[in-house]
Amino acid sequence: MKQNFKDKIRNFGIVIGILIISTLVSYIFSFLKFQEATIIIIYMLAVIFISQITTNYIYGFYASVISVLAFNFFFTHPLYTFNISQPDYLFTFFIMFLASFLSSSLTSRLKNEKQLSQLKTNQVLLVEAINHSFQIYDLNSALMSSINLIAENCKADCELTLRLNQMIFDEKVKNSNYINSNLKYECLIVVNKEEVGKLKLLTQTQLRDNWIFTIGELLSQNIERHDLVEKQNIAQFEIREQKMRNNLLSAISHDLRTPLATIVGSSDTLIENLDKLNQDVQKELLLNIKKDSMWLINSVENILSFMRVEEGINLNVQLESVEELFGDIISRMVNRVPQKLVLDIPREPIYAKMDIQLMGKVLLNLVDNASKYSSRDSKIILRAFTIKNRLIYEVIDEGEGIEDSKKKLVFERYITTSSNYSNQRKGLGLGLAICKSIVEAHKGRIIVKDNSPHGSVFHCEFPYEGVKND
Amino acid sequence: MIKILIIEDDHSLRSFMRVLLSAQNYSVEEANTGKLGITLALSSQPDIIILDLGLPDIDGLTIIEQIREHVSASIIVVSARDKENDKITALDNGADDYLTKPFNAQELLARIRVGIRHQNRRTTEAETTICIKDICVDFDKHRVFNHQDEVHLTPIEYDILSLLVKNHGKVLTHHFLLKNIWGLKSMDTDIQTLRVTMANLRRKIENDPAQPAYIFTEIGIGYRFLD
Repeated sequence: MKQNFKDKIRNFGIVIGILIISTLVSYIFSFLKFQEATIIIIYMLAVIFISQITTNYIYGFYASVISVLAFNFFFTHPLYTFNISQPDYLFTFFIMFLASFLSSSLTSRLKNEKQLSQLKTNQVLLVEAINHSFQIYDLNSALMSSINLIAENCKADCELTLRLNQMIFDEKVKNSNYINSNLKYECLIVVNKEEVGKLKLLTQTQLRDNWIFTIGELLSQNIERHDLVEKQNIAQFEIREQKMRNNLLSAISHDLRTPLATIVGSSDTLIENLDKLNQDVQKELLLNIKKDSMWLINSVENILSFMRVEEGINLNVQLESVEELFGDIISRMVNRVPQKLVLDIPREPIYAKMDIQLMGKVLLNLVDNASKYSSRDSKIILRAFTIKNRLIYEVIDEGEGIEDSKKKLVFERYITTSSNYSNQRKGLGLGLAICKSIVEAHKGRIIVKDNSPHGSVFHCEFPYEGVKND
Repeated sequence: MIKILIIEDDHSLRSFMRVLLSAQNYSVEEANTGKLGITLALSSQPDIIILDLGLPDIDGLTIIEQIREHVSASIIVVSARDKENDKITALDNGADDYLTKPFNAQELLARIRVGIRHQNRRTTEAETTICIKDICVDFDKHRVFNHQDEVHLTPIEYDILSLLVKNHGKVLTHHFLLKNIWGLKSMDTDIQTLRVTMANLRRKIENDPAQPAYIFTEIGIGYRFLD
């Protein structure tokens, strides 16, 4: 109410002010003996100008009336009276009023049209912005961004309460500058035919038509779509999980049975024919038992770590010495792989935060892998270094390397490639998948590159904040 | 004759150890339950006890707790690879060494040899000088030599080295080292200090600190000096 009154005062001020100015200007012109028509045009210009800057067409009307009266009072004989000497002045007044009033109403309509189209553009922009936020953000952020957009667009306080599945959203955005907002709008948010929440607006400016319902509908639709996509994702994820578990089971049952068959068969042969077999054959059978047992140990280790990693990695992070990590790997692997292991790490110790057990697993798997795919007399380089804020581990072999098309694939589960170098049993294809999961749990990434002239470089890099020695 | 008690519920594993150890002329006793194990440990006072941490009747840690005060044997605990924490707890509570399943014969024999040596040392006079390969520590004069060249260590480095050398071949947990050197309960920051000190110590006595010939890292557990 107060606001309205202020508005009126302002508009009347404009009317009076501009008319006084135009009267003064007309005075000068009449002093200079200009024709009356000039004065009439000055008043008409004043009226058009007024309707341009006042907020209601009625002020154009007032201005038209007053300017006719002023013209009569100040510029027609007898001067300074509302009397008229010639009756044809009445006709002049009428035309003057009609012309100025018509042009003023045209002006204000034009102005309204312009405002309306501006508003529509704003509304279209709002719809687009809301749709966009739902496309790029998760539900919570999208809702947050939407109510901010709505509040800004409607110049209103905006409140959204929502209960969907397990999520509760209850946020308010203050935007209007006036404490006693007098216009309230409300609408329900309906998702899957169920009322899930409410959108409330408190604003100073009147909203057009059913704008609030349009917004409500827009939000509802977006939330519904989001919900649907989420459910589909979960379903897909579950299907994938199930498939993965089945794959793992079949891998275990198939791949583990073969070495078990060797072990049972060889030991059986030994027990039944111990005195008939010569020592060389006995030794060969025993070596087979040992080799396949070792393979089983490795596979079981990998299956266990794989399952643990898949369940979600619980990192036990401590500041560790990279030198100790690599030293341990070398000492554990040096007798297990035929290749020469070469360690290349800076003399200055590097300390980094990590789960050292898991990181050890990554390097063990990488070295194991490198060993399988390169010739016995080649060498495997283990390298660690820091560049700026990154810590890099590399395991480099001199094997055949990996085709470009397979470089990404090797980190997928159950992917194995055949090796020309070893007569060892094929792995389960879990080792590199485990490495990838562990590296990513450390906020790092792992890729494979070509070594020159041949071979592969498995390259892991992690964020690293330099830690001072003591 | 050295007496070894095997407390292990798995029949095959027990029989493998019996065959192996008897062939080395050790006298072997076996217990397939924790209860029997405790009785035998107390009654026959073996020199070495090989204890599986995953027994069906009594928790391995409880067994250590019950017998540690009453037997002088070196206790070697055996556990699966994913039970790192059990191992550390066992070591901090009186076990002398550990083996991870699956282990091979050489590893087992090496651990037993170290156990026997420490067993003997307990009963004889403490040495004033211990030399392992090229490293000699003179405990009276607090001096350390590498190839007859004196190595200058800080007091903390010397303390760590002498602890490791006195227990050479045996794993010393982070917690044990911290408690004995700094007299603290182990906390993250102190483990970091230990790591830094160890890196410095290695730089003074190792040719290649990254591929140590003397002080080995047992990842996540502690350190072991060359046997």
